[in-house]
Amino acid sequence: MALTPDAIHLSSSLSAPDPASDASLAEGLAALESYKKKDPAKVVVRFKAVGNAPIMKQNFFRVTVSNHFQAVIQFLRKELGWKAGEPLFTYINLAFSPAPDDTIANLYRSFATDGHLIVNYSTTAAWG
Amino acid sequence: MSSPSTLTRSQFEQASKALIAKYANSTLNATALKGWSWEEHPTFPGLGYLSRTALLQGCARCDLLKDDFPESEEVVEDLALAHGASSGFLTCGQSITFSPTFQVPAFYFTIHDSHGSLLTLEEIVNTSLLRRHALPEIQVTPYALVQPDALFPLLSQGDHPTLGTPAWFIHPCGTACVVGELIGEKNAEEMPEVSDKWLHWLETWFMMMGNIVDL
Repeated sequence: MALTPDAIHLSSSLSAPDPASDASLAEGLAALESYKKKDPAKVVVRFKAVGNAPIMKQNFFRVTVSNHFQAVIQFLRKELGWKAGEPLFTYINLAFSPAPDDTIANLYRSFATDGHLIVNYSTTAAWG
Repeated sequence: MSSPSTLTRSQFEQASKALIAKYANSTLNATALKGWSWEEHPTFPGLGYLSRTALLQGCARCDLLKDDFPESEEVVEDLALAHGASSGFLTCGQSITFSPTFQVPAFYFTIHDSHGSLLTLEEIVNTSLLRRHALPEIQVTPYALVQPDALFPLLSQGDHPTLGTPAWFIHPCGTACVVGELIGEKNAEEMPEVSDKWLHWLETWFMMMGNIVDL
């Protein structure tokens, strides 16, 4: 059976290696590998109590930037000795409440002041 | 200790209209504060509220639809039906009304799927509207989200104060204390003076709500 022009093109593309597509594949894999690596850099987070929230002896902590904000919330609970059911609300710069999956890197880059990220925390029950 | 902070209905209306004006064309990435419009009761004045419709992604009905499919190979291979079951866009009607009992705003919402069916509370908890991490020890009943040792449920059903239609609402009993505390803290930190005190109150309310609702 005679090959059609499309079939000839397809078969030639399958048989001969394409340097351009190999290079772009390698570049893509390298980009994925670098994205997977966690940035080990640390930034300073400053905790500030709001209202009647307990004040910690130490308020400045270094946090790895690849962490999500959820890690900061859990860390704060542990430092305060606050159980899971007890109310604890966090704010950045008393401006907004960050989502738990926001990364520390992004929050620091966007909202840090004087070299640290201010996290205000309150224990006053807001609901119910 | 900061004192509770409340506002009157007219202050709420003033703050709401100022919020709409401020964020109407804002380039700030403040999605919680944008897209609201002021609605009035069709007949009675003075019962206005903020209103917005948001689209959420979720497939709350996926599992239910799967159970309803008859066990037939033909149906499973029907791509149109399969696509319909997983296209989970949900419509969330949101309102911020004034609670005369507690003298603070209250957040009311309804969620229905692309077929127009209202979601159950269990499905609502699994959508992106509520922040799950903020609900650590919550009991989900068919009618309310209940916290242990709390007087009132966190989330329950009630009639929209102006429309009279059923909706879910976040109970506002703790709002005055928390917003008062936050405003007291902002004043103590000598933050730049605000030109509109009531708009500032409402923005602080939004900040507080952000803990539990992903507006």
